Amino acid sequence: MSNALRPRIGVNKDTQFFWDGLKQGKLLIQHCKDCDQLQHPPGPCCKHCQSFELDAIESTGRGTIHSFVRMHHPVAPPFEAGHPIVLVELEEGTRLIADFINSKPEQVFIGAAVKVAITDCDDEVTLALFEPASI
Amino acid sequence: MSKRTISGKSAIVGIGATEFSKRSGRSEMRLAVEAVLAACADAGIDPSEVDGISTYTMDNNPEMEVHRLIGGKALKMFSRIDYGGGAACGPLLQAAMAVATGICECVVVYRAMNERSEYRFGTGVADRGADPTYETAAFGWHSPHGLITPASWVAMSAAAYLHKNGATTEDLGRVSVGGRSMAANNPNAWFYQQPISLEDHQNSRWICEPLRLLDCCQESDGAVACVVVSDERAKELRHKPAYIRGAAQGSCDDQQSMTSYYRDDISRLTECGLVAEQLYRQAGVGPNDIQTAVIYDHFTPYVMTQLEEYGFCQRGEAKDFLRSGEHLLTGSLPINTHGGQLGEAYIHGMNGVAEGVRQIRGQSVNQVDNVQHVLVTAGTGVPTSGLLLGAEN
Ligand SMILES: [Zn+2]
Repeated sequence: MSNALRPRIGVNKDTQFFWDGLKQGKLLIQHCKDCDQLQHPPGPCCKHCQSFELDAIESTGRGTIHSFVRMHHPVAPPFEAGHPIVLVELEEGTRLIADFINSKPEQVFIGAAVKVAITDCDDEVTLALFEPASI
Repeated sequence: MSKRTISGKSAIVGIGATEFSKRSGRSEMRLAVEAVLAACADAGIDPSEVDGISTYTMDNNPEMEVHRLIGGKALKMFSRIDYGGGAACGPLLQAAMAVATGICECVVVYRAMNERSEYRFGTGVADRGADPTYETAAFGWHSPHGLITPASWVAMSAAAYLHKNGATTEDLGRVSVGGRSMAANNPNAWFYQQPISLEDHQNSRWICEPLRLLDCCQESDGAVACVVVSDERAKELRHKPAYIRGAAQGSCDDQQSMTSYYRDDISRLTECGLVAEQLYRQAGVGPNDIQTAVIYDHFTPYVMTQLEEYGFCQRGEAKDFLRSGEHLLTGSLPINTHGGQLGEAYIHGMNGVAEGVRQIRGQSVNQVDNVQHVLVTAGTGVPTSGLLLGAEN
């Protein structure tokens, strides 16, 4: 992998827990203590019931590819031309965008089983990348 | 219908534009002033009469300065609408409301940009600094993963759309070929006399699969402006009025800006459905009453989605609509008769509003017969807007 850095992440008081979780090796999903629903991206209140009583659950990190692209242009290091980026639907039901690593072309399709690969990309940025469920 | 309506209370009576280029060689402010003065001249209205201005948040030219430079005397309403091209018809809604309620007599809307020569949107957001604002935090969900450009944000939804509906990238190509066929007849279009074939589309390089180069609109320098006055005054002016029969904005269904990936069905543009429902209700017409449409075409896939959301075909059937050529000049609903942003220029949708006016007047280079109503849509994937113009009020 290139030494070039990925784009920096803007973190605020609503999203801090998510990034802190990744630093501890956990993929967290915001959870409402009042209505028990999950939401991602996280926010200051529950979008379902407007409660401010929020905590987080740890995801299993397993899911499926809901959609995907292959990014060709513009691509700058550390990314490689044609690298797949996926929209993962987690088992818990929420979705998130992830750079898809360690995959062969035939492993990138809508419905494919995937799992999280929490990765320290550099000193500052730790991301929930994903990879095929069976490599 | 509610008595409280903006429908038919105002009209677009002037349109103006600069040339469309890749390097204007002039300041954006100059482009804005040139287009506004041209629109006032087209309307036969002295620019000093302008008492309302609305534009987009991404425009770099303050309403105050444009008004000062055109010799304006009293500016009573100024506003700018958010979300880039999604704003395109929003300023017309502002104008229609201001005129219908008596706040203003003469409102100008404009979009002026050196987008190609000074700050290309297509390069993406990779080098934004980290700060705690909502917008930067929102970019954090995708940009560190390399999803950094408008094309890539659209491609993610497009892949889901194609998969769900059995459509192919050739269907996307049909949108592009159609736009370029219209531009080929338009001397003001960047791609004048440069039609393309479906083969050209399929041979163009990948930008972000499933999108190729020819699925992405061009980047442009230029400006377009329109003048809006009341329906009574419109009747006294030189051109046939393009009555604003409907104007609407929409944001709904777990809306995000370009990345509504968390809604139930990411292959849809439900915010366009919200705009459509409002426009048709305001105007008291439906999709079958529309003879031609300007369907915002920054990227081809969302043209397909919009054809469905605005009711020109059933959900999932845009591919059939395109395969039978209904979007071409010989079809049942010629779209983007100026060439669209794929073919004419990317002026963030305001050039599409001007084309809607030309179709009402009978002045398009690709004129459609017996035009009674024209739909104009705005940027998609973001909170959006739409306009329904009528030949009668
Ligand atoms: Zn709740």
